[in-house]
Amino acid sequence: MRVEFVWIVWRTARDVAPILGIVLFFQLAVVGGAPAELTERAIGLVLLLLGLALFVRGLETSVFPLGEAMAEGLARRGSIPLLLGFAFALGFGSTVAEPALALVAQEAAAVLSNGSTSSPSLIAAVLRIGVSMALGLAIALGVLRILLGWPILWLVLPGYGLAAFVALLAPTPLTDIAFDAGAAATSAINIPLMLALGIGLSTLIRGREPLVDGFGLVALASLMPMLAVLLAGLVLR
Amino acid sequence: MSALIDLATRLLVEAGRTILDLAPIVGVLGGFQFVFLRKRIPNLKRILAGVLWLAIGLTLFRVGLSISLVPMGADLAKALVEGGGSGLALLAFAALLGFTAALIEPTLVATADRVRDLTGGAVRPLALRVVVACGIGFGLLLGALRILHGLPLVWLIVGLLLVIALLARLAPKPVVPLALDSGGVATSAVTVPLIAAYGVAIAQALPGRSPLADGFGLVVLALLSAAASVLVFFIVQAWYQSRGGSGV
Repeated sequence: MRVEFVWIVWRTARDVAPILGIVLFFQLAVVGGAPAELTERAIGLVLLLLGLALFVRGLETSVFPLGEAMAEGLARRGSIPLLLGFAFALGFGSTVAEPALALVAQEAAAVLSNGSTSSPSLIAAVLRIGVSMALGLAIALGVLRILLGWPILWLVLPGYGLAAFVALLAPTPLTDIAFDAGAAATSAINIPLMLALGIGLSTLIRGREPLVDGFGLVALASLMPMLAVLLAGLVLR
Repeated sequence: MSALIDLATRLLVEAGRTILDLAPIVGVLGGFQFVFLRKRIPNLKRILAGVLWLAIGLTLFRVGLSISLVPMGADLAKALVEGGGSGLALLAFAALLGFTAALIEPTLVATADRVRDLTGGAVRPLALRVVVACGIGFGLLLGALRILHGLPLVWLIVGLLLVIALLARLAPKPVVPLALDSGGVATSAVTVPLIAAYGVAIAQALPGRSPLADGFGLVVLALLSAAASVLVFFIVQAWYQSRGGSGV
């Protein structure tokens, strides 16, 4: 276990080296000197490295096995509403407190509250809950897709097409933010859970290939919040 | 000394945020497990330990990111713009930033490992990560171009969607869901904050471009470009294999 951990730290260091190299290169070439607050930045990098290694290790020993086991356990019970309910709760619960989403919601609220009577924090909270619900719905839809065998392209491309169509037809100040909201909502915690759920289900269900059918949840999960915020922009205009 | 206290405070605050972040989902998982499943989870101790490592790792990682790469990236972006230098430097920086950020993205690392397991080693994790990172870098390049020249976001998105639709027809069918997921997977804990910082820095340094230069739109371009990149990779690999070459 110790040796494995050391290996993960080494691999992480090896992975971070390029980004460090790039940043340092530009730092020296463009700015022409050491970065401000060198010690603080250096400590930050060490924390980053350590944190990454621990995080990946934690993912691989907890989220993946647990998520897959639970997905299989629930699927074995044979109740589709239960499975969909679980998918929704998973999506909602893992997104509602996501910091990256909170940030985007804050920015969006600042944009929206110009000229509106509601307070920005209320708008931000509503957006976060709305996005989390959209993500929950996306995962439920994704699970349904796995169960029924719908091709992923048929859901994703028209979905993005719809988003682009809505954005073209009725641009709002929220349009650009909406597109990034989806990616902001899918982050460190819910992505591994989605993968575990998808792969777990596909492994269990006959006729489903884990590599093929287990994926697609993240794509849907990036899409639905986009649509949700675009619609919010229309409604709140 | 005060810097140390400052750091300790940041860590505590972030730890609190991480606990808050994890609480609902732990509740959901625990709730469903207890109410509906009721059978003992194998290796419970190991799983709980894993959750602890995850929480600690996430806390350290987020704080470390916010005091190192994020401000460094923002300072550099600002310097690049103010240096009056060529848009070329800005584009190069954007592409490289996206590429390297995606390369260290933990969710991508974990996913690539999982793909290796699922394909029995046929797809090497590093290969997949590099391919996705190239896509992300290209997407950021597009985004930076958009900021510099005021190109409309929706048209760029539509363009990428058409490319993806075409590539998906040409690619081996099994890889399409993975490709579509790659973009979302690669834009998570590292790339989103870095891109946000980069975008904000550019917006502040380029007066008169504010609406476009809000930095929004960069992430979705990266997301879609990554999907296209993975599709291209598998198309090329399939073509190469059909001519008798060995796999990647």
